[in-house]
Amino acid sequence: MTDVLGLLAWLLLPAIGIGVWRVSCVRPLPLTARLAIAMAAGSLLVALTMAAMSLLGIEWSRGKLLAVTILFIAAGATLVYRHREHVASVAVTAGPDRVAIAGIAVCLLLTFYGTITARESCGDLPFTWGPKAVRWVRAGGLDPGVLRTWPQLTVDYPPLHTLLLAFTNTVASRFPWWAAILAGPLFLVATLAVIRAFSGDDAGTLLAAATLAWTFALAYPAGCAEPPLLLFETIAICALTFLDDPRAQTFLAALGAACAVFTKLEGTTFAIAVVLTILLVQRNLRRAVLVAVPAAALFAAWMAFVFRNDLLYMYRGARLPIYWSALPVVIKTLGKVAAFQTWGLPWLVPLVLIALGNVRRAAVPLSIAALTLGATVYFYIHYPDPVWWIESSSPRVLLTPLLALVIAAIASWRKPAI
Amino acid sequence: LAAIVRRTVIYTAAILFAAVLIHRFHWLGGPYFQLPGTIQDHVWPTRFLSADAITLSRRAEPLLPRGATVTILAPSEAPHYDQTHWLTGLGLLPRQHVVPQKMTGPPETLPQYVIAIADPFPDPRYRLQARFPEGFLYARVP
Repeated sequence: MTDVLGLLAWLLLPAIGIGVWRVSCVRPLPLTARLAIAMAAGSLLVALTMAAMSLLGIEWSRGKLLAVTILFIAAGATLVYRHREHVASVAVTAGPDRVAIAGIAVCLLLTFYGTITARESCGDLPFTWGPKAVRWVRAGGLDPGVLRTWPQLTVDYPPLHTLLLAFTNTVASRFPWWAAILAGPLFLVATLAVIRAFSGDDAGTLLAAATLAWTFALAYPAGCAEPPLLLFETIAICALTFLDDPRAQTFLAALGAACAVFTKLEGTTFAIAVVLTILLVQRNLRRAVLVAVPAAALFAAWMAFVFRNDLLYMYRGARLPIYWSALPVVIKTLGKVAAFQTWGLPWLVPLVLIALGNVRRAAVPLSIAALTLGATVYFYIHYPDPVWWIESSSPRVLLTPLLALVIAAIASWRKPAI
Repeated sequence: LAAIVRRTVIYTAAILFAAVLIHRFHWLGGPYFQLPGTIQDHVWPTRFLSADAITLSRRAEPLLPRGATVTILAPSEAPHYDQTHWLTGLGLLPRQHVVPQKMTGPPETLPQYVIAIADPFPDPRYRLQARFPEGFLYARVP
């Protein structure tokens, strides 16, 4: 029963964020994309609401959180209902590729099987993410006291994923461990829905599905923050790559970057990569500022909380010296991990497709892939002996540049707008 | 022709990734069509002690008083216990006070209960309270 309630809490996220459908540039998108975007918006709303309650001294409880949830759903649904005029869909698919769709379904089923049989569970969930969420729930909020005595390095880690876990814990009364790992495939479905809806490319989405299904099995992301992070990143990358509406590009890139910053440390480097790409590739200063502002505001709010409560730890890593002597080891070890036990095929296949396609159309995701890969190397050369660190964390960290590369491969074959 | 090449590359890659994925699931071991006891049961072909830490926490929880100090350790790792075991207890025993595996010092500073994974915990300051398939529960001698 605990896990059923926990799973329901995860499934409530798109309903909580349904108000985002009111935004004019979201309204014309296909239903699957709107659901995925609502899931991202719902995740951010829940996290911000729970954080705000703690700042205001309002203790979390099931009743209070469900009341706020119902309020969000009712307000969002009312907004959408009042502005329900018919809008032409921007779907660009020429007709479903049934073989590719069947392939996507097989990849999703395999990932679901791997998750439900505990073959893809994140090792960090039982001793990092889960306990922190449980302790926050016991404390009745995002309690700095819990973090001050937290026995691990992750004291100042961005809170979105932990808050979502705490939300499901509060709804279910106990921590729903199985629901936490099943959220992994749920976010994967949303990620693929965004890629398919924005690109209109079923075969390309199959490549993304197969690549992620395989690399998930080696990266063990189920229960950790990577599945939501990949959804947020996909929304930003795909909006900038596939959508023609400038407002939609700006709004969705801003939403994706803000969610990413609030989810993981690497989310901040992703947001910087997005802003730099908008400046360098799209040459659009106004959009870069509009995308940067919400992410920067969330980052500033979190850092203010961290400094005010003397919690700075992991972000202080930026001040560590750089060990250039470690660069060969970093590249060698990262190369070994990035091969994903298949001779690097997850990278080689999209690279071949980009080479056969139009590189210029893939400029945005290629830039983000290169920048986030560069940031990964930059992170790891801050330690004199980073081998263990790379081997334990990089399979998950590399999913961001890999996904950006796969999206680049899809974009390189995109037919130009008529 | 380019489109056919593209589809061929993608379908071939998808079949290959699905095949290696199925092979990996098989390599991780069975049972293949049974819900596992913990979320860590099949993450590696050999069972992780963390899976036992989860199971033991669940088994010991009804026997532990609310607010009692507890730690979880694998005696075979003494004295350098794996920190992740007691951290796992932090999430699974929310009504108790789960503490690090500091087993030195005056008796009153030791955890009131020790959950020992796999092997017995032969410490004269503790007496056996319960025996489980995956390990033992000890209580500090008053």
